[in-house]
Amino acid sequence: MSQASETSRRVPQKIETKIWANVADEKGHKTTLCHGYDFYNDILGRYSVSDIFFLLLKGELPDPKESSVMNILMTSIINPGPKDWSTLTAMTAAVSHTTVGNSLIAGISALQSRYNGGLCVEKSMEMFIDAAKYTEKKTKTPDLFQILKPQYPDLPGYGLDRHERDRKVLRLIELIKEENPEGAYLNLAIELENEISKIKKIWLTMPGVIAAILLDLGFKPLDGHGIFIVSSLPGVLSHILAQMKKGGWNTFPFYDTPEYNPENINELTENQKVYGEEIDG
Amino acid sequence: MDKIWNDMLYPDGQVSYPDSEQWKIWRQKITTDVGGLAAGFRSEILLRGYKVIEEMTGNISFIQAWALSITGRLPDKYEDRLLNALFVNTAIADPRFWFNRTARLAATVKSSPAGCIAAGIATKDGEFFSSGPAYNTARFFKETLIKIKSGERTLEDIVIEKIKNKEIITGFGRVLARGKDERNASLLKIAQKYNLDKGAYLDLAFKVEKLLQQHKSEDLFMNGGGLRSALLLDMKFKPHQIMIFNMIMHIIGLAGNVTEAFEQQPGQFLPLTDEDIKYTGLPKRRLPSPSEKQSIVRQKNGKRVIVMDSVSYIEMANRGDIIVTGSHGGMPAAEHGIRFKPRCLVFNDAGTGKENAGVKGLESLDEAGIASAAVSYTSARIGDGMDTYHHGVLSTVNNTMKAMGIYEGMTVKDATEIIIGLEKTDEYC
Repeated sequence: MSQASETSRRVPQKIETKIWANVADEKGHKTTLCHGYDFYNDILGRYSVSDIFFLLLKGELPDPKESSVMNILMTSIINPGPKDWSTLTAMTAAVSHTTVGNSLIAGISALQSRYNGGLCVEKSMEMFIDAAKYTEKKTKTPDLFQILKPQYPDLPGYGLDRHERDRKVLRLIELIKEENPEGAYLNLAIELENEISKIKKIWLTMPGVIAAILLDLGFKPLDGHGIFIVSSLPGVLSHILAQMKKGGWNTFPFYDTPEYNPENINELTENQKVYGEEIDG
Repeated sequence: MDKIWNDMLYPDGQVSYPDSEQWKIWRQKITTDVGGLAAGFRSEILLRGYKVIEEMTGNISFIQAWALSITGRLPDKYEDRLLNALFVNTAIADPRFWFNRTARLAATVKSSPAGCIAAGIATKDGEFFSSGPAYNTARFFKETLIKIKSGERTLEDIVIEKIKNKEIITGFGRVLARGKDERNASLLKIAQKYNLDKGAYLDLAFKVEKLLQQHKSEDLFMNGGGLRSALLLDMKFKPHQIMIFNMIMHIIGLAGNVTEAFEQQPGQFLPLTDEDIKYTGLPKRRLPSPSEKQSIVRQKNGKRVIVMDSVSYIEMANRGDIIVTGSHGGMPAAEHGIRFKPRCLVFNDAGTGKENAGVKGLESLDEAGIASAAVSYTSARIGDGMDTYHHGVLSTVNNTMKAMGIYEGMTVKDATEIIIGLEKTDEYC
């Protein structure tokens, strides 16, 4: 028996899932269960996309407050807009006449970014979790900022929207505060922002505020990474389709010739040439 | 992968927040050192200063060009032999391997070729396999050598500390197999042949292997990834360049899997049935009450009787429910209820009032095909859903409701029982 076969014995032979399956009753009648709920008869038509997204990831339907927060959160990032790198990547793929799916893959590649995308949300959530451990020990916010800095030098979730404060963040906070004024992580994120902005002139970004809200909803950092990407896809898709319908590469900027001015034009040395002597004699 | 993403974020390690002046310089302008159509050399395509068409084509190999693009340095013909060997050495076509499997799964349902290859390469971009370990291994070797050379630590200290802290040193040990990595001997032979086995990183890698065998397990050997990282570092690659260089490393077997799946029937690779999925979630359960303002008083046959004091509390989750409310049955109340598509709506007639406005909404509900009735204002308190359910007597019934065999004079409880008892609607799936 090969070593790989031995390994395959150590792992499950069936895919296991708590999320979704067609389950037969004693009469053989099949029901599609989603975390125990009859999806097609009980859930479909009764709950919104954001409610079902919550159910899929958390295993429970949201209560009215959670439902409202989830809906506002997902809607707030539904379109990164044409100047975001994710949409730009997707649109650029789209004008090359590739498929819609490939254009979305291109968009997702940038949407997961560490700078302002899914990975940033994930890291920001991790930072807030660490920060909360210190606040439980009554660490004061100014000290907290100094404690977090070595481990999170770029302070994920804080920064600028290009070179400015992101005003969208303020509106999102206002709406979420109406629904859930007690959100401990959002309040912590705002307290930290007050301290950080005194020193660095940076503020909460959308990934940062999304990270705090998701923690208040009970989500984990990996959930946040994915929720950010999926929530932003409808907008990215709209820009892909608009570019595809408009035409193609010649209806989209190609930009000026890049600044590329090598000091020297290199010549190959005989040591670098691999073809020639052996085959050709 | 934390280290990788953090390292990639700011190349010089300095966190910066560009201001508007910086953005003015950057926007709408591309600068690059990789190549393109250089100013003054517009007829020539250049890659890192080399003429692609005149010079490179026909003289250097794909792998040399690949390394040149990533590092800016063109490997010589001896390094080319080793770099090619590194690639060929990873031509694993076993469809069970995760990158081959994902690529092939996409291909079996006839996705786009790029989508299939993207799926495979994305699978390699992980902490557990391929590019992640390659980066972490290279970074470990590089940092360790700096510490040893500066006299800050000894190698033995570093390795023993990692073992004590239960930290895994990537580049040693294997996921699926045990023992020596069968790929390494052939690579080392080529490295020796071209005198590329004398580098400091390869020497370090063997010393780490020896220490791991002494202090952790005799069965722990350098794996293919560890050897590749050491050899590439000795060829002046930086850790992040190794990660990018490795990105297409398993693509040989991966591409074959995609091609074969395209030549087969759709869905031929790993089709699953319900029996192949083990459900470990909660058993079938009933929906929760949509909100605290609603009470589920009866649930049977896939139907629910839900009581609420006001029709304004109705939600999307009430689709198909039998709703008993304490609201009047006027037009605004009915129009609000229609939007949520309940199976039945029961109101209070509010004494019907001028021109029967208190039950006027029942006609609109009829037009929408929703059964509806109102109870006499003398039988139940207006605004009290529970009183309506327990004591309400129907005073007005719309035609849709009458078609179910429900008439004026019946109690709300009896009427809802009739609706619940009606033949169950088809359930899907």
